[in-house]
Amino acid sequence: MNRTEETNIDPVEAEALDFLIAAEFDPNSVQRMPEPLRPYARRILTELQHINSYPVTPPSDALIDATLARIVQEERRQSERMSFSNSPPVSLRRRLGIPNVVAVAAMLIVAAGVAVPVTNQVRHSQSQFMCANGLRTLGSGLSAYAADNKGILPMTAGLASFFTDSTATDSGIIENAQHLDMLAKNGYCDSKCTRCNGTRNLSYRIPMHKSQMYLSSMQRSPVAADANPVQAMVRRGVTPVNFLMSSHNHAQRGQNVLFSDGTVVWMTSPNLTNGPRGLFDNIWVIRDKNGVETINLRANPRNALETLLAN
Amino acid sequence: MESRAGDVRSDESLLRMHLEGAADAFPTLLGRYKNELHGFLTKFLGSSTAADDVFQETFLQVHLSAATFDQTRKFKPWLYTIAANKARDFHRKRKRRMMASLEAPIGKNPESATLLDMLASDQEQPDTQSETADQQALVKRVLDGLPDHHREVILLGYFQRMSYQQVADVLAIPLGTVKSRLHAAVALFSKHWRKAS
Repeated sequence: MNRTEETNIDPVEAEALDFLIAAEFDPNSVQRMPEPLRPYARRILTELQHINSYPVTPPSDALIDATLARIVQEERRQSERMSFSNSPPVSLRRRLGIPNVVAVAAMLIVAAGVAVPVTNQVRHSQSQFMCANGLRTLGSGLSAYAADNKGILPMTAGLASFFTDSTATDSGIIENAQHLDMLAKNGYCDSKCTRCNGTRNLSYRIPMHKSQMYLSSMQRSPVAADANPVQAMVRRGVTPVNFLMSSHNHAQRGQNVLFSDGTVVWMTSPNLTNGPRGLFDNIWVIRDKNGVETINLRANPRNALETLLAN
Repeated sequence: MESRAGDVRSDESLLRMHLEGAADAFPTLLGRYKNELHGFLTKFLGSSTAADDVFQETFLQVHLSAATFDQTRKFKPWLYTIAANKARDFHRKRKRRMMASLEAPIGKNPESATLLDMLASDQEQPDTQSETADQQALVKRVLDGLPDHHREVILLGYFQRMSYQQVADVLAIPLGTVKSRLHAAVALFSKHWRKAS
């Protein structure tokens, strides 16, 4: 079958189409074509441009999580399939011969060695994204709560509780992030939204200034995040050498941070790079008036924009 | 994560980092192609739900085959090769399941309404439909009505702005076949478009 018969397209039109393909359908390319091709090229462009209005709904953010979850599921299925009995049937062993069995076993070990780290990292990614989704839900809950309460965020424990020892909860003092539980109790979000992946602790902002109590008027800044590792260490009686560490919720690879505009950002460092006066703002500690990061509760924060997230 | 802004890492290096265990590499790659590939699959499959499914299948395959990817080549054509194969598989399975085509006319009159026309639409209601919505519905009907092998070359050639050679690589068919298919596809689209509008 020759081209003209199959395509039912005029050879000149076909040539015009070839030009357009080469020019990535740039309308300006028509002027660079030989004169006889131009009317054909214009007509093709006009007709194909209709395709641009094909209705497409952008996928939701959940598509990424769902894809990662599917990968983990498939990896599990494959590893189950790969597991085999230690005592294969005698007939199979005889059929394959010992050298072949050894070779297959060696290949399986190598394959497992490659698959396990990849699976682990996908699992980490899945955990990270599930946690981010939870924080997004928490953000919606906080926003709904603030809308019902004159823009004010749920109360916090205040600085006094920040470095109290681990028996504080037992003695009846409510830890800071536990104040978020009232969101779930009052139906602003589900019971898991106040934990990372439903189990691990979160940290919640302690206001350094009364403006930080109002979600509506707050500048874009962190409101909640994965658990504060500095605080956790201090409570265990260890003073960190530096505060540049990531939350233990995700094996210290980074932390999910919920901002006041409802966005959730994965930060591999606790430093906000857009801190006031060009200084970094570590979300785990206070920066005092001298610009020094400290865990000293008596320190006066350098300004009203300082961020402190406490467990 | 939606765009490349602020992230200068190439697709190929992200895939390599994924193999080396970097946790954020694969999600970044997913985010980078989320809208683009999903849009391509929606147009190819005619359904956003089907596109969700095939998108996941595609990236699952990318993950499983990452170690076999030739690092000297470009990631995008490889991704689209996998996506196009998965979309074709999806079509084949769907066709096997369907006893009657949704695009088949109801009754003996070939001009009568189709089963597809009878289905609830996820578009706006008629009272809020604008000319744009009509146009969108028309484009969808014409493009969805093209044979699969014609629709895929139009989508790759026109939407993805791929060259003949790139389309040939993605679909694993000879260059000459790509040319003749695209010529036929454009001619067919024009014919159906004029008829429909």
